[in-house]
Amino acid sequence: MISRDLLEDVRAAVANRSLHAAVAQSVDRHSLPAAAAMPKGQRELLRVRARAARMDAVRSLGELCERFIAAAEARGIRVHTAADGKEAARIVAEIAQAAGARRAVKSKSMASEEIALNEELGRAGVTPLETDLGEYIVQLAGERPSHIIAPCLHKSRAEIAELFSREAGREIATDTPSLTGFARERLREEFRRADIGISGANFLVAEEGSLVIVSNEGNARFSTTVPHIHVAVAGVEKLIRDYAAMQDALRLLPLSATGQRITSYVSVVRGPAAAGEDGPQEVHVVLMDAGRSDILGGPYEEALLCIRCGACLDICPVYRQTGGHAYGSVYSGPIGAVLTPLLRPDAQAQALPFLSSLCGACSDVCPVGIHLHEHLVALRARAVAQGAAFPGEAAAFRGFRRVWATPRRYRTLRPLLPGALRLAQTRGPLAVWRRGRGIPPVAPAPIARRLRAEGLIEGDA
Amino acid sequence: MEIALFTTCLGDLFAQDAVASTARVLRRLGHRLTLPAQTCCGQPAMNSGFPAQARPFVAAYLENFQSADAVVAPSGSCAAMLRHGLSQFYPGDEAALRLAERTYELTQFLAEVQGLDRPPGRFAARVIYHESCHLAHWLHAAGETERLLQGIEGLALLHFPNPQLCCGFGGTFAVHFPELSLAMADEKVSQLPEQPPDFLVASDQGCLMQLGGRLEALGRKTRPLHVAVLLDRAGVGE
Repeated sequence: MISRDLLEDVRAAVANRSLHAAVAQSVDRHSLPAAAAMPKGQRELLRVRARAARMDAVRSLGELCERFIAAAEARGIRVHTAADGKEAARIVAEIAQAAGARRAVKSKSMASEEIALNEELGRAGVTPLETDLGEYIVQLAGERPSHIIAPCLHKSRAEIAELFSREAGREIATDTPSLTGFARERLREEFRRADIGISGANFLVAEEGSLVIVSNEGNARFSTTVPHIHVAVAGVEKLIRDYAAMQDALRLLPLSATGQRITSYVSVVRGPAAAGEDGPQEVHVVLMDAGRSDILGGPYEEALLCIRCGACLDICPVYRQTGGHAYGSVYSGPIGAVLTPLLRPDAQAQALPFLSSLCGACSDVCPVGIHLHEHLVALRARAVAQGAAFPGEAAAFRGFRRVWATPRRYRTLRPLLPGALRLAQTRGPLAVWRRGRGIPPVAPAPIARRLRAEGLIEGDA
Repeated sequence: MEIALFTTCLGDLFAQDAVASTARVLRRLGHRLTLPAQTCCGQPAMNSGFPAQARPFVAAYLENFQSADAVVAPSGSCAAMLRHGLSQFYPGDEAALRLAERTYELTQFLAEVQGLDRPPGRFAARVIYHESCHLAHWLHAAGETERLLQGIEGLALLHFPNPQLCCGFGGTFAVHFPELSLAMADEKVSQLPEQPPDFLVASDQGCLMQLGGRLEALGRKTRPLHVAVLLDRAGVGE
């Protein structure tokens, strides 16, 4: 049976029209400049090359993993491998505990969200502080990020000012300088006091054993350089062969996300600081599988190409109405509706592919050419096969096939349809349709009769 | 060219004018039309997660439409379903793959095969055009329909500020997530210009029932109009 939770969450999100207003405004602010940022032909060229480089990485994950570990360790990075999210979170917590850390600063990481790292750190007596502005805001609100790259996009300026005012114990105005000024002042202090810095990674460069982190706020550099220990958490699909193979995807990431030609910061982490240099004494990488290798080699392998730009969320007409929280997953929007059921077995995750009108706009904007809408259709069949159908539909579609699938049966059935459709409008699925919509009258006679009567069909006298 | 008409369920049941107009425009352009035995394309089952129940519909299409030079449907979504269904259910089957390639939505056929570009015609009205998602993203024919409308005299062609936004129909999606589907329609309706257009034009009856049904329920003046009917009344092909 389909997840009731999902249906309820979607209904609640749709009922919140100020949420829609905030989300629609923000996604337009991303997707319109993104669409205009580069001529179509040039973008297509980058897309073809980026896809090929990402595909090479995904198809060679085992090999790249070994290369990355060897190269990173040769430079003094300690690499840990984790089979699942739980193990990954535990490894990070143990590193923090072993160092006697009490305070952690985090730069934005969806992988850390995926493994619920903040909860695990809390249990280990470490207080995590999110330092990406959007992440900081959702952490203060006690919420989860609602967008892959813009975690607080569901919040209005007034809501953010209210949160900050409560935190500051004084009135913070709603203008951008006041809001960012408060966050900057608060976070600067926290960077200095932190014992450990935690980040994700946008790319793990196998040949070099280095991490590449893309950010706009400078908080990633602070988090990875000020504390004595830096721990990065990343899924294995972040691996890429070398810097050359990374170039196109690195350009497409900000272009697709916000229309930026380059982000404010592109940081490369190459290992602990040498004696006498500034920087962390210890650098750890937690390389986690967490369901990725189950996707490898299968029909949904393409989903691993994703570079987490969020373009599919920004263009999605459903995400635009619901925001990210209704998906009940760290990854929302079209890519979330594809990835989540592959990573999580629960009923809500399995139902997510249904949360799409299948408009297909996502596939067209994807910078690595993931056929998202086709995967959504296929994953619906997979969900149904696992028992996650909408109530009554299995029987309904068996009936549909039986009475409708051959032209002869359809012809026989046709005279009954006007009556049947009238009935369906009072009791059947069309009753749902009628709530809020008109419906045209049903033509009593088949169209074939009219076309022939008008002499439009060849071979008819 | 001998063209087989795929009339579609929605065309047969709710939009016979659109089918008749499709036939008239194609006839005026000099094509011979046939009407092979047919039923639904199977899309409702396919998109609801029941490919095994969708397959016989595609099989019936493959069996009955082989001989046509081209197949034309007044619906991007049915044409897309048939193209994808044939490719998916009959991989490597030469006849199925060729049939998939010559299955077209009407305006796609007129632009890609007929080579019409801003054909002359006359239709005096203010219309706003909604490009169906299936046409734009499944059939990759974005912008083609619009070029067919641009040469029509008397036609004031208006645009949505977010033209790519889906109408929210989505087949069974409209029943699975009724409030969401309506909210999507309402955003489109809210983007109509203040002075109401006479018609909202689209190439898919699904979009037209969703948006037309919503316009009616909200008491708006703008009426849904299938692009085939517009092209027909404008005299395209004469």
